[in-house]
Amino acid sequence: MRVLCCVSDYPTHYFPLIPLGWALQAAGHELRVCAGPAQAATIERAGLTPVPCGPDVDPVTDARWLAYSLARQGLRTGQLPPLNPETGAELADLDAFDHAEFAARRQQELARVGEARTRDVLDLAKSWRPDLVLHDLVAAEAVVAAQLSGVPSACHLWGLTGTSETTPGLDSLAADVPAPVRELIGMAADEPAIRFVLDPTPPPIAPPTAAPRMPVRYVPYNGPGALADPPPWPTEIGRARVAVVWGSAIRRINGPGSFLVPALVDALAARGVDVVLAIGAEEAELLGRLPANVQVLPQYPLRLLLPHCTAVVHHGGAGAALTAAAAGLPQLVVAFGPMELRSAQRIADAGVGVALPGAHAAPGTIRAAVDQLLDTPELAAAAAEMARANAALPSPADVVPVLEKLAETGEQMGG
Amino acid sequence: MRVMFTVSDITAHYFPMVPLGWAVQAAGHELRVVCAPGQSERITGAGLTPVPVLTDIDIFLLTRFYFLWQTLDGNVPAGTWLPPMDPETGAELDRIEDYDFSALAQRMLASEPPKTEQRIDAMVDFARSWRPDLIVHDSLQLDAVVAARVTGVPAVMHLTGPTGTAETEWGAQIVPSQFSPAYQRHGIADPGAGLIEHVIDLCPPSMAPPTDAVRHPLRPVPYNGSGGLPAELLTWSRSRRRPRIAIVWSSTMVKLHGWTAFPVRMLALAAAKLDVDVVVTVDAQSRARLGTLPDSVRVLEQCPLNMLLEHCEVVVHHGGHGSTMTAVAAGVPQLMVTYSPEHTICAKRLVPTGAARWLYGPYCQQEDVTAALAALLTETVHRDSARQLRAEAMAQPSPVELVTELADLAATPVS
Repeated sequence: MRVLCCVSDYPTHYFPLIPLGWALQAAGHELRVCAGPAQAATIERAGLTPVPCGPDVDPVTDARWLAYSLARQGLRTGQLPPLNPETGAELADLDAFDHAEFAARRQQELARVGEARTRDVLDLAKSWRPDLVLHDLVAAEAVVAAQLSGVPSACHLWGLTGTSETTPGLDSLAADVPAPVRELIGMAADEPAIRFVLDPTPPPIAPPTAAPRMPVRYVPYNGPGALADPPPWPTEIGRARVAVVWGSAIRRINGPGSFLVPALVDALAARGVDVVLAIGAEEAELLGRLPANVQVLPQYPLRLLLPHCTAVVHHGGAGAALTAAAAGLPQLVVAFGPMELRSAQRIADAGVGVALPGAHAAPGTIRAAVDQLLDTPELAAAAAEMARANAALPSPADVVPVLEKLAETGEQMGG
Repeated sequence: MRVMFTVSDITAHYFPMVPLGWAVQAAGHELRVVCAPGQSERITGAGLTPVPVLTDIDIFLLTRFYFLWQTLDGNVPAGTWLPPMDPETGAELDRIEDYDFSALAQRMLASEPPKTEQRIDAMVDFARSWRPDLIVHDSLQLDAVVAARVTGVPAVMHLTGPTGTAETEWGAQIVPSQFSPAYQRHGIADPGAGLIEHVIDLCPPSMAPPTDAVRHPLRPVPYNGSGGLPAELLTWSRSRRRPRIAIVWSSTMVKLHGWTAFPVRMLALAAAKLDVDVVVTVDAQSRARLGTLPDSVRVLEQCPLNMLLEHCEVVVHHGGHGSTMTAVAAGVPQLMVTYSPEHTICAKRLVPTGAARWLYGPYCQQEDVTAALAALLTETVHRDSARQLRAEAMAQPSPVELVTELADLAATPVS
């Protein structure tokens, strides 16, 4: 069959569905991945075939805009002050930014991008005639393409964010089709835009979904990279190794006050564990001189690093959280944005990690969180159990027959 | 399970393994691809994880050296077209008698065997430390059997097309007659007998190559890189009104046999005599050699053949395994214009199926090509046979299905 897939403008949003793409191709199906042109190289290097659609959008701008909007509505208490959504500069106060003007312009721009991208996706759907449409949580153009092509669609989650979230900032994230477009394409007003969900999060941390949900084993893919042999870290037997994963978008979205890596390094180094920093070169430069047991390892695939660690500290990104889950590691999640905070809470609630809201976290609080991560054997045991639960889920290859049936009959999957 | 792929230094020999690699990963198994650094980027670009621990070798130097040595030793069968090339520069030799072969042989005897030993030792070392359950290697990476014997796991050779392990004709033998001293060092006293116990065979039964090994049939899933079709071709496809012929030519041909083995301009002119559109794909360097072509001929650089063939009625190529199997999987009739002995054997296996016609490149005239193409376009036997061959190929187990079979093999104790 032919499967058309639409993804949004951030690699960690679609990395979790790459293994399903391999599974489809290895089962003899054809796959085309529609995305903004800037994503094409990343998709191609994963072994899938990109189809560049519409202009690009910068998701960091919109993440900053969301932070600013929530602050204006008084829904961001206790957080760091929002940045200028457009430039990323720090703001003296909320009124130092002309929100009305920006919002009008950005809405127009996003509408223009959405239209252009939808038109390109529809063009492909018309000539290529897919049997099934897949999409990530936010790529609404896929729903329109499925409706117009008369084929089923399924949403593949990127992690711990579901289709029926109630947290402000997450509640309107899931792909939807606005009323005027529904009228245009013959889609009933009450028909859910997301009809099926493929969920790669293991049960204890799975997010809420309104649509029928099919669990898929999370198979880590975090971008291209070679295995270094021997490993690029010290391999002294008997020493604990903790990975710190810190995406460069955190600082761009939340400002310089969100860069907690120095405090985390201090807290971890004091514990006498080996520390591997999976951070970008730009972030590494901010660190200055590092203790002997701390090492920077930029651009090394997390899937190859985490199985050699005992615990992981990260910013709440879906890729880090799920790769840690698959590796069975306890996690300390130091979170800032609404999505990361919600993920952190789910991880803590499942007993597989510690949640630490990052805003204004004092060194003592950070040390206490690190101690809790390293000194609570129950977290490691529960994390190992979660890894077993993940490994017991149907693999991406097992899900292919389910998708074949969905494409053929339109029948709901799972239960 | 853990699966170790190990691959040689030419993509044509290991790209056919990529879909099996996807299937291994998508079933939740672990995969590492042991290779030389020069191949690393091609492997990450396919979505797989390279382990670049082997010394790079220049496969073109080695092949040209072998051809020249065989020519000088009088081993090349009479009537085999094999122009003498300078092994080091790849330039055609005017007079073979003037070339100082023994000086080169001295140099290569000093430089090459240590590389082979390093590669064997590195494969063994990695297999010992990573402990794979199974080793799959391409047909040029036969030395992987040493790592398999040493670690006591099965080795499976992944064939690329209709050349088997029990060939008798000169130029087609996969199993070498001489082995590195590393074999003996690792305890393999008699490498010759039963060295290859399992093969993965992409060929449908009616074109299957000879082998004494256990044959694991696999449906060919073409992987020729993940880039999409150029927009120009997509637009053109929508408006086409007459048959289209694809002409593809491997850049390896020029590297091994010189520009005499680059008949693409002649092929394009021959095709343009018919009432057809013609698409030629060549690399950037070869493009300049094409000169001015009729309006009905379009020239593309770097276009995945499997995607191109969806839009074509006939394909012309040099008889390489990649092009042959891609055309088999697409169900497209083929004109094979061969120069190399191994490609001629490939053509001889295809022609009896009715899905292909064969012309011997060194003696072939433009009128022969036009006539063969006209026959491939009009005689229904070719179209029907190509469809039949495709149906046969599609009836073989998919990579996803083969993984289950390989897991069983890995679980069976090696005798």
